[in-house]
Amino acid sequence: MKIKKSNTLDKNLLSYFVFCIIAIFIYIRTFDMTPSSSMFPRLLSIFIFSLNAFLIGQYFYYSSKRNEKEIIQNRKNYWKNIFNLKKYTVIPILVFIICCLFVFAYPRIGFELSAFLLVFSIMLLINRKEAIKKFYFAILIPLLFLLIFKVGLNLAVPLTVEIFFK
Amino acid sequence: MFQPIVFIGMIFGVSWGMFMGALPGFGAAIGMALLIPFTYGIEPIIALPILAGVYTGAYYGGGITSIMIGVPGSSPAAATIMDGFPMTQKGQSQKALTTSLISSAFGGIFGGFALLLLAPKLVQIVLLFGPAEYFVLAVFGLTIIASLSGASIMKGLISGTFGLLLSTIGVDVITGDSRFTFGEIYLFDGIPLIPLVLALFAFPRCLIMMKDIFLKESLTLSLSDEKGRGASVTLKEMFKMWKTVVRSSIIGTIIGMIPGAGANIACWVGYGEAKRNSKHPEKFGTGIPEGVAAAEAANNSVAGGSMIPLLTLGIPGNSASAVMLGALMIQGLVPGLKLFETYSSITYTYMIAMIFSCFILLAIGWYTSRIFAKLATINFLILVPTIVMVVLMGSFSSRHYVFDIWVTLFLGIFCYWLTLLKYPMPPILLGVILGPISEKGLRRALMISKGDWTVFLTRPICIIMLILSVISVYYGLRISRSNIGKGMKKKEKLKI
Repeated sequence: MKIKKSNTLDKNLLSYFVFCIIAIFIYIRTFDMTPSSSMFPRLLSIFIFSLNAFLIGQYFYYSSKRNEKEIIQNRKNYWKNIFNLKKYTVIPILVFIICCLFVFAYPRIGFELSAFLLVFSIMLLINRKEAIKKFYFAILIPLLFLLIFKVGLNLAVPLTVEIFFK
Repeated sequence: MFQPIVFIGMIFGVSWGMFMGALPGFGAAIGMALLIPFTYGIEPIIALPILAGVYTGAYYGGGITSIMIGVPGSSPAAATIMDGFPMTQKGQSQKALTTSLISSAFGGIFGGFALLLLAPKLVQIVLLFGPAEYFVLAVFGLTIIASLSGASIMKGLISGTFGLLLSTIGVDVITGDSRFTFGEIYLFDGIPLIPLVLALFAFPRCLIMMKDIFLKESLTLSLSDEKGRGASVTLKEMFKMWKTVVRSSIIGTIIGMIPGAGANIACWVGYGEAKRNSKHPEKFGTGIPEGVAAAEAANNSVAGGSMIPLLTLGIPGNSASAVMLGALMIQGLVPGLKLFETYSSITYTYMIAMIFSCFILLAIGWYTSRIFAKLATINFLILVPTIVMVVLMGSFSSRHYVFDIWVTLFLGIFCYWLTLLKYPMPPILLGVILGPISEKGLRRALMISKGDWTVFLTRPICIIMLILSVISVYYGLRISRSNIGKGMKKKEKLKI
């Protein structure tokens, strides 16, 4: 339980640093703008940096109060905790990668094929056996969306049929 | 308003809302976020009643699963479990569902009338606003939603400021400078709102669902074993609870009007007050219809109440109304006096639709609540890829740019990470929406005052709003500290 709590703190610490980096990046970029345009983003970047710097300071202040054994354990587990590669942590990242592949493939191989691959691979990730049994959903779902977007909303969707059989 | 297409839209909206509300983890905000890409091309006079239907339906839908499964579909339905689920276990599920339905509809109608009567009066305040007031109003809106929407006010403020930063992307309308566009023409108009809404609310939800599936190792929720359905609630029984229903509706409407508070608080306050005023408080929690009625009337009346500050000042009461604000902006409607003068037909249609959707809810819910309870047990194997498809194609549908899908994906994965770390998402959306208003207000006020910053401290409305902002930050800090305190106590107990 103790380790779980310090994990959250460590991950929060990473987010504070990320926001600080974003703030510094924005502050530097504002020098390319006119004074009038740069004022608002510059103010915001200073504010977001101050908030996160305060939280980082607060984190180290409280960590100095924690006992040494806990600090050593935290340091040991720090990177391990951040890149905690358990199955449930990896799965959302895999879904994200599959989505990226879909966006990359979609204009090239058309909607039907890319959407089938997207739906089926997510189904496989959830449950392999069930996905194979119910593979027809991977065909039906994209077709339903094709109907909604192409016929209903008149969207310019690149079609596999047009790309490969034109 | 009285066109058949509007009613068909509302029927669809209510049904979609009930479905989304019944699905655990979804609710009104995500329900609306998923529907916005489809309503984008429709006229606002039809699109907004559809979204009003979603709003109303989702609050009731959350109660269906609370009663039938013992899992709240959405957090505003958490208090409904207290008596709703024990009623199902006692074989009185039909009575619990119908009590919940009638109370929800009454609460929704009450909130809708409050909106109709109060909003046109309150909007007159906007006449007193100059650039300085608009800037301070944005600060006030952000601080109040940041302080109340999460466990930590600091994270709320970071989220809000991050949203404001996102709003600066694009061409500056005053000087014509290109800011943070990195040469991408797709970013010249700023971050597109539909992909943003989907990235903030829907895409992280999909990823969290995937994570949950592996943690729970279950593909579906299961309906509890019922000892029969029992009879519906009678009018006589409902009439006995009128005081509870009216009290909860008033509580819900008032809490809804407080920005940042919302239905999560209202349902518990309504339930608590019903218990406190009851002649038999010991029966609460054992499965009595009064407990269901109190919680449901309170959470549904929030819908109307939260629309009052939204339509008049542009400050959303909760995450669902923050998404609604996004939907209004996408339709080109800016909250404030213009909404009640130039676009009065659309605005009043929307407000009346909030009331009519409750009658539609009553009709649909009476016959189909059980079907929605079964739909909530839909296999995740089908649900997750379907929602992922809606998110991806929904982002594409607004401007027909593949670039917008990339925006959803990258912002979505970042927001997923932030969600895991308990950063609230509504302040980000509010920041993006209020960003241009506050920036314009700040720059114009400083231009008028020739760079004098004391302009914000010399105008009465500014001073009042700044004081309220400080109070909300102080209040938020106290909540954060009490949360830390609770955590510390737990830790000490664990050590012992």
